[in-house]
Amino acid sequence: MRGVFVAGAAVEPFGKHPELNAADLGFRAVAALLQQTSVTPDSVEVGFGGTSFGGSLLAQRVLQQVGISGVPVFTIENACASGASAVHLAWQAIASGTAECAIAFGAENLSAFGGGTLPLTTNDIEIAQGMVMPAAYAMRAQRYLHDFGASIDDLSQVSVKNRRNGADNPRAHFQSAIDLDAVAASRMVADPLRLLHCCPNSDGAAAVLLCSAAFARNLPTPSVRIAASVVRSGAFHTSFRDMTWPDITARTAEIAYRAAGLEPADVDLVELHDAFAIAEILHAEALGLADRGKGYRAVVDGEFDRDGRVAVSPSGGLLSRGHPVGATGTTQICEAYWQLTGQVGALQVPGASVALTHVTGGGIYGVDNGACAVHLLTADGA
Amino acid sequence: MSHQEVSPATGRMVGGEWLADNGSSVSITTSKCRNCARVWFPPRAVCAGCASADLDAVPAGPDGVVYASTVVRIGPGQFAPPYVLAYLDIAGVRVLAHIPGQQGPQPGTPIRLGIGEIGADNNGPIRSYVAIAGGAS
Repeated sequence: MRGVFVAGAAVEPFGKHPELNAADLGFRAVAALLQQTSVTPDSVEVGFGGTSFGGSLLAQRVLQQVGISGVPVFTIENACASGASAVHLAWQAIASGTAECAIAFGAENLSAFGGGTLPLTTNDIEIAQGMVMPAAYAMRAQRYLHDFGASIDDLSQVSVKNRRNGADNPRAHFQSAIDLDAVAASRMVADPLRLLHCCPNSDGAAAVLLCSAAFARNLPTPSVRIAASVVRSGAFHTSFRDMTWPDITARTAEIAYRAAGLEPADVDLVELHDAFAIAEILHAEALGLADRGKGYRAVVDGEFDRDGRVAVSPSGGLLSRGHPVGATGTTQICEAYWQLTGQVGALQVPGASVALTHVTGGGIYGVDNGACAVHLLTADGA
Repeated sequence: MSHQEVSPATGRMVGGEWLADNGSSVSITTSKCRNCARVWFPPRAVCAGCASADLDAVPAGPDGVVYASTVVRIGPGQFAPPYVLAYLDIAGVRVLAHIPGQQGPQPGTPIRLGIGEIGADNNGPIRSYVAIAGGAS
């Protein structure tokens, strides 16, 4: 397999865009990407669009607006990992030599659902019994606090850190810092998780250009290398499951580290799936960024701050950026690209040369999550 | 689906087809694979581990322990939040159930599985697995 590079990234700012549907949002991100990279539509040989609620043929409905039609185009659904799965498939196309240039995007409009928790898959016994995503993470949180002696305030420090980071991110849904008191005063959603432990439902889109080294060298934009792109599904079983150890994350990350020849200690910044404050701690441990049961200490001690040992969620994470389900995995890669090319201003992690992005998706019974994607990106461009 | 659904007088039952009401207590039906020994709930016609169709129906419960619980305060209207959910570990399988009251039990709390009303919709009451404290473990 040959080297694959990200040579451009564009995000339509996340937030509430009730007047724009997923195709409108995706169009804005993809149009901005083409403009920025000076890539003409006839150079794009394949396209992948990730969405969970954007409907049939979203990728076609987006890409045909910018002159990309006739070529193979795929709409990818993998719950919260849809956008990152789209990037993974674009990576496969370039790595295998099938294409020189590909676009992957994610787009989602969640305003259409109104407020509250997101609708989950039907025909699932737990959902028919009243399971919702915050409840699943709340039970993980209760068990983690019970097993490792962490406190609610320790969890809340994740929200405080990520909202502090997000305050500097013009693409974030929430651009304001919060303190522990604000978290403690926010409405209880599913004990022990309060509203400010949960990411907001958002609308947004993000797109990346993936290409070969030769293609990247002819572009005006800088490039970064995709050192690993790995997607795995949840390991299904209905017996006892340790909900404090997201096995799907550990398995996916292990393969990614090995493929890239990198270790957790090599990583400078991480954009992970902090859909809930507890999720950052669990996934950070499974990604090898902290010892088992010690992830909360790393947060409290500032090790995951933007200028800490390893910056976790330097963009503000899902807790600040918001979570337009299918767009999240793609936007993480955009943020990592800008970090590694020195284009993020106040968000910049000093000396960033290795970035990891991680997203998990899906609430169905019998698995940690339905899908997980991990990407490792390095600053050595084409 | 289950016969309860065509009989409004008894309400709808979620997961009722895998539950046996033995009068004073209930048991759930699990599947144990004769080929690879994996145990499943809900029961399956084909093993989701090795794809063997050679499975035994094995009754389990009603006693178990709470793995984790939560009080859902924002959730679907038919369950009338707040409501308490818990994952229960029963005889090798993990089962989601409602807990009566307004408090989530701590991990490790012994429970006993039963049947109860978990909500209501336009078709009437919804019944499913409900656990009460005090299993014999």
